[in-house]
Order: sequence, then C-alpha cells, then structure tokens
Amino acid sequence: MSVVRPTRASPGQRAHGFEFLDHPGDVKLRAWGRDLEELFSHAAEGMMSFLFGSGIANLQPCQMETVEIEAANREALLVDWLSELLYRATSEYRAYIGFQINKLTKTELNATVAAAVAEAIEDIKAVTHHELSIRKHEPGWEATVVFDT
Amino acid sequence: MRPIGLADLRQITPYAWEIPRSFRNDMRVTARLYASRPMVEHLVHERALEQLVNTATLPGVQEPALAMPDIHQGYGFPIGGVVATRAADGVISPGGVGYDINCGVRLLASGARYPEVREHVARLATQIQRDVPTGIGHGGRITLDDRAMDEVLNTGLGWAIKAGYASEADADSIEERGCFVGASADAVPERARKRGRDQLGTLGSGNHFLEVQRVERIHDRARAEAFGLFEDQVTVLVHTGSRGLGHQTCTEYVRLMDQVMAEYGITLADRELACAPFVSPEGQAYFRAMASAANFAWCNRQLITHAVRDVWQRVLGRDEDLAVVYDVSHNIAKLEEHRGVPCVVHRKGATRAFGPGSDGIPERYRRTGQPVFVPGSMGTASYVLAGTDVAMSETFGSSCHGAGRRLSRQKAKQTIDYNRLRQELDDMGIEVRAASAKGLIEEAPAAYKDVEEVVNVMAETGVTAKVARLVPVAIVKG
Repeated sequence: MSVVRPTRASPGQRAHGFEFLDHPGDVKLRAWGRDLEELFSHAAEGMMSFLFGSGIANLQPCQMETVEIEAANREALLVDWLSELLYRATSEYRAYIGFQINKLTKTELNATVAAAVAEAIEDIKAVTHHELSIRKHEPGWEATVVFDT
Repeated sequence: MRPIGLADLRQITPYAWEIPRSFRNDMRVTARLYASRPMVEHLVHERALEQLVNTATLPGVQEPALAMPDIHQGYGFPIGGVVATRAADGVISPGGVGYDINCGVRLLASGARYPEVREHVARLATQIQRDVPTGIGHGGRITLDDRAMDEVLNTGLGWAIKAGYASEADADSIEERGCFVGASADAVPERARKRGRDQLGTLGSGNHFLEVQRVERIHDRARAEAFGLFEDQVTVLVHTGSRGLGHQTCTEYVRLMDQVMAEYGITLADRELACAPFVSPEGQAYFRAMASAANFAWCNRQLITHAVRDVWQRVLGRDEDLAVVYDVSHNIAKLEEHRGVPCVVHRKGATRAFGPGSDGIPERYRRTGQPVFVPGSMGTASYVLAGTDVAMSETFGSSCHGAGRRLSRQKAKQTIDYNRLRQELDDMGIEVRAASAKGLIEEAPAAYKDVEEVVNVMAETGVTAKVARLVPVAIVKG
C-alpha cells in the first residue's frame, strides 16, 4: 500500500496541516484537515516535525508498522494516538514519516505508519489533555493539543 | 468560569493572599498564594490562578490549597502548587506530581575555594559535558537489564550503593535516603521501563542543567556551617529527574485515572487533574509506581554525581569526593502527617521544607531545618534556604522551587538574541556548554521571573530562611 508523505515545516512556520502556537510553558500544536483522518495525520506530522526538525524531510522509511488505539472519546483518542507514536519514537529511536489512517471512529483508530531510523533533536515529555480540543472548522476539522516539553 | 480579578483576592499579610471558598461553588477549601503585590498584579492575567482554584476542589483536599511565588501555568495543577489531601478519604493525582516524577535538585559541596580552581573551570565544564550525556537521542553509558531495572525501581540508592556508584553517606543526604518506602517495580508500566532503560545517568533537555557555582554570600552562618557551606566555596548543582521512565509512568496513570474517575463519582474542572481515591487499587498502584520512578530519579542524579566526582578528581587532581549537601525533590507526592492528619502532600514545582526537629530529615539537619535548593534561571544566582517551623504550620512543610517561567519558549526565541546572550554570559565570566542554541535561548534569564523576588517572599513570610547565595561559574545544559 502507499503512504502519502506530507509537507513539513519547522516549528513556528505555518505548513499545510499544522502550526505551533504560543503557550506560556510549553508547546501548543494546532492541526487541521479536510476530514478527521487528515486531522489525525497532520497532528502526528506536527509532533514528528517538532521532535525531529527539518531533517525529517530527508528520511527514508525502513518499515511499516500498525497502530491500534481504543479510547473513551475522540479527544482521548487523539492524545493516545500521539502518545503511542511518542513512545515508539523515543524508545525505539524512530521517526514516523507517513500516516495512513485505515479506520477512525469516535473511540477506535487503526493506522499504518511508516518508520525511519532517526534520533530526536527535541524532547517531548508527554502529550497532555491541557487545552485539548477537536472541533468542526468549516470546511474541515481543527484540533489543538499541548505537549509538555 | 469567570476570570479571577485583583478584587477576588484578599490580602491577609504583606505576602499572602487568599481566594475564599465563596469564589466558586465547587471549592472545598480556601486557595492561598504567597506573592508580592506586583507578582499578584501580573498573575491575575494568567491561567495559573484558575488552576490553583481548581486544586481547591479536589476530594479530601486540606485547608488551604497553596501556591508558592514561583507559580506559573501547568497542566491541571499549577507549577508551584502544594495540595495536601487526606489519605483516608482523599485522592491522589498524577497531575499533582507532574510528568517528570521526582524532578529535583542535588547540591554537591567541594572543599575548594574558587581562586584555587578558577583556571580549571573551562576544562571542568568541557569534561563534564563529555562525561554526562545531555540533550536527547541515545541514552547514557549503561543499559539496565530487567533485573537491574527492578532493583533500581525497588531499592533506589540501594542499587547504586551495591553497584559502586554511591556510598552510605550519600544515601544519608537524600530525601527518603533515596529509597521511597512503598516503591514496587511491578506497578511501573512496561513501556515506562523500556523508555528509561538507557537513560540512567543522563541530564536530559528542557530546563535541566548542571552548574558549577561559587558561594557568593552567606546569609546565615550557623546554618551554612551545618550544611557544610562557606564563602567562596565551589559547589555543583544538578537539576534533572526521572527522564522518559517518569514521563511514561505519568502518561499511563493519567489515562487510567481518567478511565476510572467516574466509577468513584469524581467530576473535575480539568481532565489533567485526573485522580482516584488514595486507598483505591488505582490510587495505590500509582503511588507505588510514582515511588519507583522517584527511586529511578534519585539513581539518575546519583550516576551524574558519580561522573562529576570522577571529572573533578581527573581535571583538578584533587583527592576528594564532592559531598552531597542534600537532594530535594520538587515533583512528588509524599505520605506525611500534618496537624495530626495523615495526608498525601502533592508538591508540583514545590520543595519539601521541613523545619527543625522534624522526622524524615538527616540527623545533622535536625537543629537547622532541612536544606532547600532554589535554582535561579541560567546565569543568575541560586539559593540555599532552610525549612522552618512556619513551613510546618502554614505550608505543609513546603517552599518554592525556582524562578518560575515568565516568557513562553516561543516568545523567548522571538525576543532573545543568541549572540548577545552568549556575550552576556561571557561577560559575567560564565563558561557555557550547551547542546543547542535554541535550548540556551529558551532558558535565558529574561525568560524567567527574578529568583531574588521569589526567595524574598518566602523569607519575608518566614517559610524558609536564606542560608547562602550561589552564583554560576560554568553551566552545562541539554
């Protein structure tokens, strides 16, 4: 199957799918998409772009992995999706550079992700529920999520 | 929720302010803030005060919910917050400890005066940067197998002593002797173990740092002597925590608490306050996991201590072991008795500051009160304080933990010029070894509140007494 490699931007720059907003303590990501699948992909791209910097654009995928998440609601699903990728990235020294959302409901997500061998240049301690939101923003969807750095 | 204005705060002393229970229906206790008037005027525009009020709504919270003068916005709980809940029927909250479990500060004291080592400081800084892994990416010099990880998590300093990284004297100079009663490796999520397996002995990034300092001023001679400090002495301050192991532990328990809260009939103003009754299976499991992660953090600071001692001897050719003055945690929940009630004291960005005569502090500090370390921002002074009787009666034996962030990281990057900052630190005679320009800018002094103002508030209220002022001569950061 093919995985679309998205456009990237360094933190602070507005890209096609995400941007970083000012936050008193930490890093606040805003992501958007035409539908929820694209929104979840863009949020993951934003986080990876923060962790691995602009060099991420030159990485080549080494393997495909499956991610399956279940959560109580859509907001928790977004936090758990990003937390899962953060855990894999930091414990296995991998960057995730392509995201194919196969299934997405209010409480379940199944995705195929492309991994590349890389070491992060920034640290994220955790993905938080702080100021977390997912909302309809015509013509698509928008989310904000704060990372504890 | 209506915003908090200056009129909502009642000034009870020159440096203490309260938001009464009547401010919001869901408050169970008063919210109290220690701050100067200019600090309060600045704070009313920030979300941190609303977060303080939110902590006053937690089940079992004891009067009052507290904030120290270095308060700033956190997740759920404000950073600089102290919240005690009744152990019998109150809650424990991972958010009240934070993602970096047992982030803390250790002070090492040498026998050297600054003029004796001045010409070697640059080499010291370079060698420390080489020997203490900083930043992120691949981990430290050791990778723990399952058995060693169990031992670190269960016994903390016990493991470090056995492995030859620590002495009994070191353990005597650490909160809980570096081994938290109640720690149990089986409560630590597998993923947390994996994330931390190669991170022991690493400083990490963000606001973590290691500083070589000079004791610039002694404020309290008797206490300084008891702490082994003298004017012009060279000290080393280590600020780091439990690294990925603690972050993942908190992440997983926040998720668990979020799932079970409804079963316990708990509703909250903010999901990051997610909690469970302390006596519940989930509350107890978190407490055991947090205690284990705290043990990991103490071992982390111990391995860094071991590396610094080695550099000290190699570079200076001095046959001395840097002594641990004390090691304080500023992100932790402790089971303590206050006013005759067993409590879970959540300190998030706050330091235990037990006064004279308290149990749980080293024998040699029983007459002085325990040492409290308050690092300033990079390039500015740090303070050694001492806990007092006022802390025991007013603040659940707690004080401030640092300067407190003033500018967001993004604003810091927009307003601070890297070259000028380097020049300023250079002009102050400070050797800087930083992994990245960005990391340096984000932690620039201008991004933080004035540490002097913070410790002055604590001294004026009598919560902690000033003992010594330390200034940096070399900074190593991730």
